[in-house]
Amino acid sequence: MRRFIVKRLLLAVVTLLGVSLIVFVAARLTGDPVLLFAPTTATEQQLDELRAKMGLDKPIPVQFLIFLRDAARGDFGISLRYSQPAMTLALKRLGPTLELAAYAFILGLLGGVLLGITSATRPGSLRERAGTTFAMLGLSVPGFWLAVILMLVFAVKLHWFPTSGREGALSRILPTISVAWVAVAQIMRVTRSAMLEVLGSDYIKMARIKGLRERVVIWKHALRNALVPVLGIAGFLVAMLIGGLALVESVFRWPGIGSLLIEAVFARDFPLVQAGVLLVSAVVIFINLAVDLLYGIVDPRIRYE
Amino acid sequence: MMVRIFGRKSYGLAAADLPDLAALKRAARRRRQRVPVGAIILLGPLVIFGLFGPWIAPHDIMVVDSANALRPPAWMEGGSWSYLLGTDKFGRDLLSVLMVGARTSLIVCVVGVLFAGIIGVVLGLLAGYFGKWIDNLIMRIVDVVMSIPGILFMLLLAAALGPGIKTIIISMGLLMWCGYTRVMRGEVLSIKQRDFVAMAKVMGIGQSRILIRHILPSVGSTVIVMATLQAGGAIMMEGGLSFLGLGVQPPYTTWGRIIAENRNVMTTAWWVPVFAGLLLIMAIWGFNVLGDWLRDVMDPKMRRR
Repeated sequence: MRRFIVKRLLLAVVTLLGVSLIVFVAARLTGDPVLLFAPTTATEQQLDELRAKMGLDKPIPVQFLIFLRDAARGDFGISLRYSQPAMTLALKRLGPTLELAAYAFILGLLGGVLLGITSATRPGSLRERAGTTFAMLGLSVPGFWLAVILMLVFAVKLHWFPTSGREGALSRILPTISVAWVAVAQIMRVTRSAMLEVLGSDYIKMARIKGLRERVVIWKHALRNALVPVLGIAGFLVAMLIGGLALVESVFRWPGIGSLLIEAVFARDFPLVQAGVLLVSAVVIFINLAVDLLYGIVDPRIRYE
Repeated sequence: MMVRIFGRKSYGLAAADLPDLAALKRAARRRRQRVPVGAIILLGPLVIFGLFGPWIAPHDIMVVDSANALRPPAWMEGGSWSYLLGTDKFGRDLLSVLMVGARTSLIVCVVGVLFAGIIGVVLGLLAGYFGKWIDNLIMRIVDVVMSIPGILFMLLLAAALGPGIKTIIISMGLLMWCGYTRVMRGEVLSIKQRDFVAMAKVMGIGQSRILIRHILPSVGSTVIVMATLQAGGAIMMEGGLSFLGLGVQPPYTTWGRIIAENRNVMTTAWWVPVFAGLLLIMAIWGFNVLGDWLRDVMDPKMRRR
């Protein structure tokens, strides 16, 4: 077990380094990166100072090391738009995004597992067909579009919910539904196929032969093992939810990191974009790590791969 | 019958013995189905408008006519049959704009998927065939790319390269190859154990020739299925990015951009997001259905994943 944890930790560190490299390379793609980090009003002398400070006169590998050193200190430079340290700004907006992601994950888990089980245990029924059709629809309807339509119908037309902002419980509902939608579909697909596999296994037959009630067989014995693959895609789901949130946040003007990043791209505020992308990726990597460790505990079989 | 002995409902054991009979039947029916009717209907608008849009559009979309702005669809009060789906805020015929916009969506999606497919297949072949450190390196890169939420990666590139059609295609290529690589690697790992590869080796055929002439054709159907399923994702991503205004730039237009341009008037002009969105959903759904159908036809063993 310890070897597995150490290996997994190392992998997370390597992945984080890789993401840093991508973020670093992105800035170098433009030719003269100093222009990305300086306000447009900067004089030639200021540009030179910044160049020296960022070490842009040194060879590229050294530049990357400097970037890593600064990143480790949380120093991504000063946001051009807000004139504040970029990482501080990004951290401030992370909370609201994670809040919505958590709601969406819970909703997706409840809805997805419920739909997955009903469609797996009643083969050929209307419910099964409805479930699979819903899953297909869930994968085909873009979250941002759903957000727009929900807003037009329930906020603009019916006035049930606020159109934007982050005040009160009601303001959480529409954005959560817009992103949870895809999660429901994904979790439903995974639960369904895992459930079908588990229901065919010997221990379930045994439970039935013992005369256990069908409800107990499904919800206690089968579900427990059917949930393992759901845990397996949890990391991927979180990345997907946070990505989807970027668009949904912009529709509902939710003060999360997604809308911050979009504003930053429009303002060509590159330090802020770098800090935000790296921060979100670090969160995703951390959650993936946690999920994998949990996975190792829940399902001892994978430890010795 | 047997279950009656235990005094329990009989569907339990039957369901366990024949998992998901209905789905298997449906899959079999789909395999027999020569033509994927559903997929053709759903993909019709994308393909027809994409290929012939500018010629079949009833109105010129370059003409801005503010007197005609925000006309509702023909069947509503104030609508005119000359503008079947109404007009946008510039007074352009919505149907014509959608027809013309399909072309850019189609191009971005096809080129993006091809680009990603080429990178992904090559790397997957290399990782699966050579193994060892090459495999390790490539799969670590996959981990890195997968841990950056897609839309954020696209935002990063949009910030570095400036938004535009080229940026979208490049970021799609750099993002979506991971899926191919993972699947390809797995396939190659199993194929290279097969006799015909061993035979080729014994006959002294060079490694690149074995890869290209012997292994690549065996994985072809998998690639086609994956590419189809990814095309839907590409359409969705392009739509999302263009919806933010960070996708294609004028004079090009796409369905996502049409929604974006009319975002500030959408509380009255609901028909713009609704019709543009429906076309987007049809296209994505169509690719998903087509992909499932192709999988059933070409590669039955992939069905139960």
